[in-house]
Amino acid sequence: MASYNYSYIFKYIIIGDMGVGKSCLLHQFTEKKFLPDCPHTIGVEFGTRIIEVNGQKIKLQIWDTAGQERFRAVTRSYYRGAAGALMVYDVTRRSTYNHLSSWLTDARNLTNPNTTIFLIGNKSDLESQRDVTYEEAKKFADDNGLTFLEASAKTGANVEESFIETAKTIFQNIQNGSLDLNAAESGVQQKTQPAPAVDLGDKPAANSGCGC
Amino acid sequence: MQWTQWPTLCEDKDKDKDKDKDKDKDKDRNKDRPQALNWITLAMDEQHGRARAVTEPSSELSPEARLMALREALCRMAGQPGGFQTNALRRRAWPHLVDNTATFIRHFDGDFEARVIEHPETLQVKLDVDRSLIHYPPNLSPVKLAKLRQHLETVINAVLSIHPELHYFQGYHDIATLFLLVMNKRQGFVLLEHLSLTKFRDFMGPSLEGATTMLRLIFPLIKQVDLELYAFLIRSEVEPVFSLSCVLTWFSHVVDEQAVIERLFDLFLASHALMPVYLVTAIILFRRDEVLSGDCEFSAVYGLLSKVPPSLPYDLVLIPHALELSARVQPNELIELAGQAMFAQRAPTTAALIAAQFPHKPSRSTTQPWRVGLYAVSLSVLAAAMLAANSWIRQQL
Repeated sequence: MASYNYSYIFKYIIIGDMGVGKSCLLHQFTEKKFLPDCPHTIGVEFGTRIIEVNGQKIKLQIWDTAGQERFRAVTRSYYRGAAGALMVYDVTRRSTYNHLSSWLTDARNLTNPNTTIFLIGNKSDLESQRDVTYEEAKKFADDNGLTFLEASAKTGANVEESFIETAKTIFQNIQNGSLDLNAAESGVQQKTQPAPAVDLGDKPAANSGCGC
Repeated sequence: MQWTQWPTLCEDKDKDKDKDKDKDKDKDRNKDRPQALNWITLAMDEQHGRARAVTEPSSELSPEARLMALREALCRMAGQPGGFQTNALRRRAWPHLVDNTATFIRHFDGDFEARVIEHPETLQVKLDVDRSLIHYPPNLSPVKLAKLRQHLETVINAVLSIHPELHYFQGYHDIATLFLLVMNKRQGFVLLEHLSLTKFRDFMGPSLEGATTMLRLIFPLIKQVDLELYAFLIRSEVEPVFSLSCVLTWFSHVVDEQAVIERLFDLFLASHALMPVYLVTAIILFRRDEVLSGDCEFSAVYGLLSKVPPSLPYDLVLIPHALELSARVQPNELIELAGQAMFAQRAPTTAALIAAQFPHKPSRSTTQPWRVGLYAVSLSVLAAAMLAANSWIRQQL
């Protein structure tokens, strides 16, 4: 019989153009080190880490998606049932910022209304090559109701914060009742302790791509 | 030294499946090794215009028969431990493993570099090339790295410019990288062009459906040999997408050791288009205990199987097993099995995909003769299999 050292599982997805550093952010967050030559992602990759929010242990189940348009048919099915979506652009490449609306549309259409969407401007260490100002991106985030941070997978700046702030928002939504754990595809699964293998959250639909 | 136990790679339509006869065949296979080397000597001599300097068996054969025999010998060698062993041999052998006689393939013979034009994926190719050649080869000087990247970009852009119907996918550059590390630029282009029109054709359509359909053969294959593992995978609701990068890039994206990738390319070049699926399956079967001892849950299984462990015993265990699997459940049979399974599930997406593919089938099959298992994995073939109208495919595989 399985026992868990965490109370919740939150499902995250990381989305954004190719080369913005999605996999590097994930690697920095799960391994606490920078992978300088992070290879491109084909399809969908997966990582986990247990964090603590308000005294509760939470397992983050993070799906890292390929940035190339061609893989969207595959990656889109992984949006379903995400409690958190980290939408990443590269502060040194304006085109990756310009594509955010398209990523946001996908995220809104393919996740549930309560999914927390967090905007990350990655590569903030490359100040001299900056192509998108903080103010401009902050305004975009405010206009669209997103939380926003600039981060650097290389130095680690704001990486922890981005993942953990997202979890805090989700946890807050659970506590104030705006996120219904019994709703289909809430992206949150509660574990009882010591836990028999019974899920309090809804089972995802077959083939949803979500194991929550 | 033993060269036994491994079925031949070149499909023999009339191959006797009776395993009892394997022992008798062992003697013949042991002869293959020196014979294969003789044939390679022949090929080298032909390249240098000394076709007369041939070995005993070849002199009795017509040039066509000699080439055919050479190809068969090379195919067998590719399945033996270490494959072609050295890149010197690969440079001789690989060009023989592509069927240059396939009439529907529009090969480009001229100055391919002059044909490079701006295409919709130009920027994507550049971005990918800029972060290529990271893990291998070791100790690459900056000058050599820059030159290799330039060649890589040229070769990829040439294929995409000459064949605008082909769509680039990330990972294609991993494959092209390996060709360029083994072959020269011209040969690398020829191989890449040929494979893009044949074994990679289904990965380069307007969508990735060809590749995802190929992945759907993995579980039905596991079902044939390991019911317990199959039941576990189905119960976990995991999807075979975890193998996408292995199949799509012939493992060049997931394996970090250049020598291993080269050896796997020997196998894939010498085999039918589905061999990567058999190898992926052999790896999953090899890891069965690890899978079964974990949580029976989508993300747990996905997380485990999406990472290919380093230093797997490819030559000793996995390749022989993949070959055995492909002899036991042959590609046409597997397509049929998978087709039936999908049909039984009546998965709406699959049905929609197949319906969407139907219009393409007649035009493709009437204008382009089928050769050596090309498009064996295309949805149109799968659709045909599902309709149990695939006897002609069986003949072609």
